[in-house]
Parts: sequence; C-alpha cells; structure tokens
Amino acid sequence: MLNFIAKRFVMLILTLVVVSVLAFLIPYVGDGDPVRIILRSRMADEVTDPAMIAALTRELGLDRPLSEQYLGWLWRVLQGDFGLSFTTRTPVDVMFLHALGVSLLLALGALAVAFLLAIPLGTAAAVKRGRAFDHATSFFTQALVAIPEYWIAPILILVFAIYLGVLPSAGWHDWSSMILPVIVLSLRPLAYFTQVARASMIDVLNAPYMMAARARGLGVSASLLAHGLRNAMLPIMTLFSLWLTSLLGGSIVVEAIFAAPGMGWLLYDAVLNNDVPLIQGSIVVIVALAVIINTLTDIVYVMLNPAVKLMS
Amino acid sequence: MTDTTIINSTVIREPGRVRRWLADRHLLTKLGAACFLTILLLLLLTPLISPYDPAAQNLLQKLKWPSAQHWLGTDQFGRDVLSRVIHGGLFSVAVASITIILCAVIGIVIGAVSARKGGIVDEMLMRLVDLLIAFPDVVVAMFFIATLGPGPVTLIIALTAVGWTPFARMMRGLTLEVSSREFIEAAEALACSRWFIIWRHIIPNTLGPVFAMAFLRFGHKLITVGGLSFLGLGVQPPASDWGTMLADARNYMDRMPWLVIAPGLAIFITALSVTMIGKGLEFERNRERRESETT
Amino acid sequence: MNAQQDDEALLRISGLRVGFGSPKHRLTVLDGLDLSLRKREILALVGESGSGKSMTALAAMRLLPQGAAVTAGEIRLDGQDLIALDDKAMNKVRGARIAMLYQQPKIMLDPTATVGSQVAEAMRLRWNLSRAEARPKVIGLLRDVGIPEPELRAKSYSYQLSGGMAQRVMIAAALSAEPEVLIADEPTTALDVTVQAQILRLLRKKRDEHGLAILLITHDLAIVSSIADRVAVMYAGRVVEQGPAREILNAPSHPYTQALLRSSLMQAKEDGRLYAIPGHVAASHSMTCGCRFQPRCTLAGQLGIEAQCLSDEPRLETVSAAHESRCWGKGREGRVHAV
Ligand SMILES: Nc1ncnc2c1ncn2[C@@H]1O[C@H](COP(=O)(O)OP(=O)(O)OP(=O)(O)O)[C@@H](O)[C@H]1O
Ligand code: SF4
Ligand SMILES: [Mg+2]
Repeated sequence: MLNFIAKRFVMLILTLVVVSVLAFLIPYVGDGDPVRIILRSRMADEVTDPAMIAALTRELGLDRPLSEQYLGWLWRVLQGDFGLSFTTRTPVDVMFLHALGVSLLLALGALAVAFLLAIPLGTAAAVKRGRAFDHATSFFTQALVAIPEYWIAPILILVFAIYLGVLPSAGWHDWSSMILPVIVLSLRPLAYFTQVARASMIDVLNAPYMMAARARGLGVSASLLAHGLRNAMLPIMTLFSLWLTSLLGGSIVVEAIFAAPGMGWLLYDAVLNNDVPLIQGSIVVIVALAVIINTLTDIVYVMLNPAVKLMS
Repeated sequence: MTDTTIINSTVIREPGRVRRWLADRHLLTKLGAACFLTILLLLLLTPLISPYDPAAQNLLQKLKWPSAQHWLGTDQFGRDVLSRVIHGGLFSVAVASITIILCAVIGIVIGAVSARKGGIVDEMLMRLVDLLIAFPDVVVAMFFIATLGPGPVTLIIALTAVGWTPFARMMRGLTLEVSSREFIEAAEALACSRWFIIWRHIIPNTLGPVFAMAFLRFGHKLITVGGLSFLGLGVQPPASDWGTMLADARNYMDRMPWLVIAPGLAIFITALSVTMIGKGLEFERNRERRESETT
Repeated sequence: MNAQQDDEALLRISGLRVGFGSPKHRLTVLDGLDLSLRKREILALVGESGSGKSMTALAAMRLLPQGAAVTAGEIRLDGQDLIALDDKAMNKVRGARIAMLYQQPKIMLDPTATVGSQVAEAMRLRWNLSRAEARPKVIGLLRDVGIPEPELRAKSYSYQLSGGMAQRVMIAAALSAEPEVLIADEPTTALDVTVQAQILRLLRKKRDEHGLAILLITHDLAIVSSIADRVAVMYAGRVVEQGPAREILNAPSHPYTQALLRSSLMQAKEDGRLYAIPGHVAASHSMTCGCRFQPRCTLAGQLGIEAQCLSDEPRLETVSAAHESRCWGKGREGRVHAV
C-alpha cells in the first residue's frame, strides 16, 4: 500500500516538473522576444528604454542559463506568483482564485445532475437488461455523447433565452446563469456515468454476495440498497474524478459560449491575446489539479476497495 | 478460440463470404457504417454534387429561409448553406481521422511493447498512461496552440499527445490476455522474435477491440476539433468547417435558426454514426465471447 | 417410508421439477425430486457434480438462477407451499425460517460492508431491531460460532478473514434470525481439513442446541459418515436411494451408490471429488425413459435386465425400514457379487 502511494507520488512530482518545464518554455518557443515578454510579465509598467531593458535583464537574471532561470521561475510559481497578466495588468494568481470558483461550481453542478440521473437510469437498464428499455437507454447515451456542446448550447440559448426569455443567455450574474451551462456540461458525463452504472450494476446483480443477501431475507431492492449501490459506486467514483478534472479546466467551449468566467475561459482568453503569464499559469494550475485529483482518487479507490488493497 | 479463427478464415474464402460477413454484423454497426460511408462519400464528392460553390457570395440572396433553390437557405453572405454543410466537414473529419489513426498506432505499439517487455518498462509506461489519461485534451491543445500557433498540424499533434493513452492501456490488457494462449507459447518455444510475435500474432488478434475503441473515440475527436474551430483556433479563414459555420451563425440564430441547426446536426450525425459503429463492434465482441464461453 | 407420507417432515420436497430455458428448449435438471427433512435432523444430500444438488438447494430457497424455473412439484415448509408464496412472503421465509450456507464463504460476503452488519441483517429484518439493539446479539452470535474477539471482528471486512473464519461468520449470519432449516451447500469443500472438522462440529452443536434441521450437500462421504443422520443420494436430478446414514454407507443398495462409495474409497481426492465412475451425469439428463443410470450401470448387464432398465423407470421402493432405492435389481443382488 505504502509502496503504491509512493510510486504514484513520484510519478505525480515527475509530471508536475515536466509540465512546469513546458509551461516555462512557452515564451522561448513562441515568436517574439522572450526577454521582452518576461519583462512585461514582471513589471507594472511597459519598459521600452533599451538601457533599462539591459539593466533589468541583468538584474532579473534573464541572461543566465535557462536552467537557472527555470528554477527562479519555479520558485516564484511555488509561492503562487505567476506574474502579471498582459491584458489586465493584475497578478495572475488572483485571477485564478475567482475563475477556479466558477469552474468548480459549474463542474460540480454538472456532475451532480449527471450522477443523479445516471444512477437510476443505469440501474434500471441493468435490471431490464436486454429488453427494450435497455436498448433505448443505450442508444440515448450514444446520442448524448455525439452531441457537440457548441451546438446544443446555442439551441438552448435560442429556446430558453431568446424565444422563452426565462433564462439569461450568457454572463455570470446569479444562480440562473448557471442553469444552461450546467445542463450542457452534464450531458456527456451523464452518458458515460449511465453506461458505467449499468455495467457495474450488472456485475453487482450477479455478485455472489447479493444472492447471500437475498438468502438472508432481503428483497431485490433492499439488497440493492444495502449492498449493490456501494459496490457499484467504486467504478463510478473513478469516472467522477476523471470528469471533475476534465471539467475544471476543459470546459473551454461552454464557458466561452456562456461567458462564464471560469478557468477554461481564462485560458481561452489568454491564448487569444497571447497573454503568456496567464497561459503558463492556467496550464500549470489545470494540469496540476488534474493529476493531483487523479492520483488521490486512485489512492482512495485502493483504500476503499479491500480486494485491490490486498493485491498491492 | 484458435479453432474458430481457422473456421472464420475458411468462411471468408467461400463465395458467399460478403453476405455471411454482413450477417455477423450487429444492427448498430450496419446502420452506423451505412450512415458514415454516405457522409464520407458526400464529403469526397463535394465538388461534383454540391449545387452551388460553397464560397460564392450573393448579397442579394443573404439570410434566406429554406426554399426550392436553397434547400437549407442562405447565410449572411448569401452563400448556399447546403453546399457549405456538405463541404464543411472535410477539415474536421480529416483532422479527426488522422488523429485517431495516429493515436491507435502509437497506442498499439506502446501497449504491446509494455505488455511483452514487462518489468520496469511496463511499469514506467503504464504510470505515464495513468497520468496522461487525466489531462484534459482541450487544455493540451491550448498549450500547443499557444506555442505552435493554430492550424491542422497543431491540432493533430495536440490531440495525439494524450489521445494514445486509452489505446495503450487497452492494448496492454489484450496483449497479456492473448499472450497466455497456447499459440503464443508455441511461437515462443520456436524462439520467434519478440517483434515477430507482436506483429504476426498479437496485433491480428487484438484488432477487433482496437477498431471498436477507435470508432468510439473518433466521434469525440471530431467534436473536439469542431469545438476548436468554433473557438477560432482550428481551421483558419478563409477556409471553414462545421465549427466555424456554427460560430458565424450564432449572431443570426434568432432570425435564422437553420444556420445553427444544420452544421451542428452534421457533426452530430457524423459523430453518432461512428459511435454506433464502435458500439456495434463492442456488442459483436461481447456476443462472440459469450458464445465461446458457452460452447 | 415415502416423502409424501412422512408426517414428521419439516421441509418436504415432492415431485419437484426444475428446468432451464423456454418450454420449447427445456433442459430439465431436477425431475421428480422427492426429499424430506425432519426437525433436528442432518440429512446429507450426495451425488456427483452436476446431479442437481445445488439446484435443489436454490429451488428450496426460491433463488434459482436466471433462466431456471420450477415447472412442477411442491416445496412445503411446515405444510406451507413455498412455491405458491408471493415474493414478499417469500422474503419473510428466507433468513427467518430457511437459511443457507455456501461453498465459497468469502465471496458471499459483501466486500464493502462490515461483518457485523451482515450478521445483523436477518435478525433486524425479522424482529425489526435497530442497529444498536442488534449489536449485542451479533457479538453474542459471533462468539457462539467460535470467533475470537467478536467485538473487533464485527467491525472487520471479508478480506480480513480466513476461509474458516468467513464460514463461521456466514453461519452466524445464517442463524441470525433463528431459522428452523439450514441448507448448507458444500460448506466445507473450500476449507482445510482441520477447519472442516471444526465447522462440522459447530453445525452439529447448532443442531443439538436449537433443534435445527440441516440439509447438508456434500461430495465427501467421510463427512456423511461423521455427521449425517440420513443420506439421500442424487443422480441426474432425482433421488435414487435414501435411508439412514449407517445403512447407506455400509449396505448401499443402488448400483450408483455402490459405485460412489467404491470410487471414494479408491481415490481419496483432496477436494473430495469423485471421478472413478465412467461416463457423465449430464448425458443422463437427456434420457426420456428408463433408468437414468443405465448407460453407466454394470449391474443391469450382470443381472440381464437391461431391457427392463432401458424401457421403464424404477420407483423408489423400500429396501428395509426407512431405506429406499430406485433400482430394478433391488433384492436380486444376491445373485451376483456386486460390491
Ligand atoms: N445456468 C445454467 N444453465 C443451464 N444449465 C445449468 C445451469 N446451471 C446449472 N446447470 C445444470 O444443472 C445441473 C445441476 O447443476 P447443480 O449445480 O445443481 O449440480 P451440483 O450437483 O450442485 O454439482 P456440483 O457438485 O458441481 O456443485 C447440471 O447438469 C448443470 O449442467
Ligand atoms: S434400474 Fe437397472 S440400470 Fe438402473 S441402476 Fe438398477 S440395474 Fe442399473
Ligand atoms: Mg453444487
């Protein structure tokens, strides 16, 4: 067990190092003068005087070897200092806090909707395996996966904001601005959760301990509640965390359509404006969150699942 | 298992083989394949069949509702929407196809090598997969766009960079499973080289599930590529595809919902048809498994 | 004594027929099974793999696998026909009146639930107890089945238990609501020999203390001789011989029982499985008339009664008091030295 955690931890650190190196290198591989880009990210005012630039270059160590510069950058990043955004001239780390809150709200909302619908749907499909309801559910989930969010989102805006006028079309004002993005974001997780819920429910329904529970006098639904759900939940939990990480930074299209100021939108804006410190910061933060959540899930999964624990 | 393989290959040499082969396909596979092939044909034959030049502007005819001349109406520049929809899939479908093929090939090789080599190689590769699989692919795409600039090559590199991981993971499992069968042991006893075994025995025996996964993932890639085009980070003007059409149409959608609905529907149907193929292949495989278990 | 006439029977199965598949493609696995279990009795059900022992147990619990159904017969518990009960009423019978033990105790325990909660289940259902009310009883039960430190063990999970411990837990869970009948399907097959003996002693103790009736399914004739009061021998979905354990073991009447005994004496296989009888049970399931053991029977040839054996099915008939056998050759063995 400790061995397993240690291994995952080493991999986690390695990934973070690699990602941070890649992010650090962005100003050096793009077009444009790296020194000027970096100065712009560190100084409150634009520096144009060549003498000043030369002085600052020496002072900030921008003439040192790349490895030294990287360590300096990393040190600042570890303290939360990603520099100043080119467009807003404010520290990038402050922008992240707000954006992360928005993305987290959207992600958790979408996953909650997906989860609450998928569990009964998947369970019902498992119980009615091979019958019409099962086939219909299977097709429904396939269709959900195939829906582009940049198609369904405008359609929903058209219907609920423009034609019916009951929901805001975009922006971030109150809870009502969350509804449409949450619905759009929930569709694909809903499909995958349903498929996994169905599969793991089928496993569970055939599990010997379920029969033993029936033999102790529990009815079908009582045994499902007492023993089925928890066991079926393990695979869904892994999927849940995968989707959480994916939605935290990856809901760029939806956040852009609904003008929801989350991590994805921040990154998109940064790329459009070539806002280097913001790009670097977003990528490091999103990927770090993704791999940390993923690693933690794996560890929790192993701890919760006695059979896996025994093997490792 | 070896027996059925032999039987299958003799069946294929018989005259009625196409019909037999078709009869073995799941309904979903057949429907999806019919749909997808039609779409591909339309995309490839565009210049021959599209009623209008998709780029031809006609400002007198702009923003028209569907009519006998323009089945799907016209857009803000008076261009024929039907022609543009037929034309507009080429970029997304091409980028997604190339990506998925690269992902599958890389995943197959890494998965097979990982399983056959075992030990530290296996351990390292699989930990790499564990971590990469958690990377949101749009974010990876953003990184590459920020460094390489937008365009098809960037998209292909970006989506392949993490897209190979599920293939590798699945291939590794399949390889381990196949390796435990007798004919591999026999090949090993005959001192066949590692690559020969992978090439001659393992890859042919694992292609089915790999194809299923490739089709299932293809839809997702298609939607991602369209999404990046929608954001202006994929295909670059003056070229256009379904994603950019959707983005352009948003300003007119209250007046002309068709402009939004048509290109989105095209993506949806294409993605759904490949997903159906993938699901159908998966069902076929499960059915085969069940049959080989009961007999 | 026939099953139908046994008035003392607590659990009585008569004419039970169980099949897989649809009416058109039916595979009959139990065909006219008669069996009766009395209070305070340990009845051993023996027979080769595939003879239908587990199906009998599952039918009695009304927990047949998907695709299998009871197509004829009765299962009466204290006179009440279980097959006629609706699902709700049957839930009240399971656990509270008939309980079951299985061959693989570890996989029969929910890996994510504590041992104690599973032991508490049946009693909480029967007497409507809260978790707290059940707790002391659960610990008492665990102690009673020989689990050391029951307070601690109640909080543990199945993966922390050895096979023997898990089977003790299963026994505690089965007896949780004080049922009258326990059906134990090869409860010791997966366990070490020393643990086997302990579990069997525990079962006998439960019988002695509570008057529990036990239907013990087993391959192992050593177990039969050590614990069973009566034995029923199953072949191809029906009982071919039954009677007091000592009589069946010492003076088996049916050629199949004789073969079974002989093979178990000749090869003491570790897992208790019997291989020595040539041929398979499975093929016999498909026979429509005649004695199902005929294809594998040597006695028929020796007695020269193959024609009769092929065309007509023998009935269960009395050999001696309380000992019945289903064979045309019954009483004619003297003419050859069959054993
Ligand atoms: N799911 C199933 N579908 C079809 N036939 C089945 C199924 N399960 C069991 N059978 C058949 O039912 C018959 C009786 O099986 P059962 O499990 O009761 O035998 P058993 O006496 O318990 O054997 P064992 O000693 O191996 O446990 C067997 O011939 C078997 O082939
Ligand atoms: S009835 Fe005939 S075939 Fe059947 S066991 Fe007796 S002698 Fe053998
Ligand atoms: Mg059995």
